[in-house]
Amino acid sequence: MKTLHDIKEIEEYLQGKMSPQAQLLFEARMLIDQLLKLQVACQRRLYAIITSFGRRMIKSEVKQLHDHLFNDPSRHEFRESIQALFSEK
Amino acid sequence: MTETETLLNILIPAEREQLFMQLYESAFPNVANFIANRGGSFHDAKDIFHDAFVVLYEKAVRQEVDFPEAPECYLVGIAKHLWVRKFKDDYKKAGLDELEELITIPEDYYDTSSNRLTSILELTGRKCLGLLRALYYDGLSLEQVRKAFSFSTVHSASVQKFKCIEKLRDTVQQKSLRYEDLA
Repeated sequence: MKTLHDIKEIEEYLQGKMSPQAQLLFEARMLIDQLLKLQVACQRRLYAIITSFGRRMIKSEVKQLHDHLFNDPSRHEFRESIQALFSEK
Repeated sequence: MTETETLLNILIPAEREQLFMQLYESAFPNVANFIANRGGSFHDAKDIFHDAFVVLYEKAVRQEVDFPEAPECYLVGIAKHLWVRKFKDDYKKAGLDELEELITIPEDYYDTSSNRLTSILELTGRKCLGLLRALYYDGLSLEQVRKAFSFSTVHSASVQKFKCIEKLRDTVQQKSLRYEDLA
């Protein structure tokens, strides 16, 4: 459970939820503890990856709607009105 | 805005699909017109418009926008901002109205530095990534996640969250061969 506690602490640091004193202490620990510093960097990167993954998932949902709209024969008027905007240029 | 649109919940996939479909049909002609007039292609319009949905979704789940007050106008405004950002166009030429000017786009939106690692984690830790996405990206509470992922208690959902962070963080550490992956 020690690791889980550490992860929680790093999360609090990265989300800016520590008190100013706790934050100073934590930053001092990072200066001397290279492993902690690496774990903080990896966890920070992980949060960015989660965002990037979430964005990909939403985008793929929208892409499915797009494919549906642009392949559905009953929506040909919609499709043609959009395509006309680009063919005139 | 119709009654049905205001009642749709963006966090529920089936309702999100319905809402997005309505928005797609009502807002895309406007966005496509804007981009065509600035020399963009159909593919540019499609890409920008899809990104605009992502930004709208993030604003809605973070409650930055009084959703769904005017999701259609908001979506069009976001798309205009994304166009200017992506193609380094002049903001002045974009002709944004007062409401559109107030819209902000996440600073990191076009940051691609996590893409390689995201692809690796999608292959090796998709289940964990799904759980963490629900918590951190969709902003669900642990109780909502307990229900959605069928955990028996909130505590077990919480333990799993930290185990997943540990597992994926280790993968990030192993796969980050280059310093810039972490910088």
